[in-house]
Amino acid sequence: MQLDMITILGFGAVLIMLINLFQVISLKSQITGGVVGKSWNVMIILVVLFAAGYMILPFLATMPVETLRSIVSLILFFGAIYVLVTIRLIYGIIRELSS
Amino acid sequence: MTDLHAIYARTEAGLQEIKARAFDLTRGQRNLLIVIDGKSALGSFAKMAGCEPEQMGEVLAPLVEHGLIALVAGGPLPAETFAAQTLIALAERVFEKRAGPVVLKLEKAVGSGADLLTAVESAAKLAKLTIDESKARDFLAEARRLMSA
Repeated sequence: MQLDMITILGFGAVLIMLINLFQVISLKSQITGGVVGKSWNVMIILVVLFAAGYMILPFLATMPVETLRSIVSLILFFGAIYVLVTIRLIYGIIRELSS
Repeated sequence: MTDLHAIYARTEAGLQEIKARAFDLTRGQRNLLIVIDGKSALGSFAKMAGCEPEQMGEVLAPLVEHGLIALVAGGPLPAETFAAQTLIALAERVFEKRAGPVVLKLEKAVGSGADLLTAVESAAKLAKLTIDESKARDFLAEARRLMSA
């Protein structure tokens, strides 16, 4: 495998996403419900999907272009959902803390 | 009449009794021996001992007689401490197994001498965010009612 900048970034992304996965699952025991708990389950699913999607990053060069486009589109789509959930969660927390 | 504000702690003999079951304790007495913590008022254990608060004396007596528990502090507690213990018991009843963070927050507030109502509102917000929204509302309403009584 060629160790260029793209590959290094890819491995870095996978590593960080695995750390995210560990943290999001670890925190679940402290967030059993409530405003945050509702969003947390969605976030766990999204992080699991991201972690799975990021696993293909080291093999990008060997993939057909159409497959690659589909995967990137999916990652972008779920990324947008993730940002939406996060923003709504932060909004919910601010609303609760300021009430 | 048993002082329900008194605080009892388990002795070394009490610890051994939990393992050995040497005395012929009733289920309520054994439960009380297990849960008694040297911090909470005796009255707060009535439910776990399976009796009404006014019957605590009967449950307590054999444990004291056998030296399984001992009085740590007696007499009426300061009003603030008693209120805090009542609120902690309320949190444990409302949130059950998930009461940990709320109880911790209340205990910290009492330990630092913070205003109890502020601590209750803060704990209710924490519960609303991370435990259960409707239970948090119930807890806050009941806590306010208790504090105004």
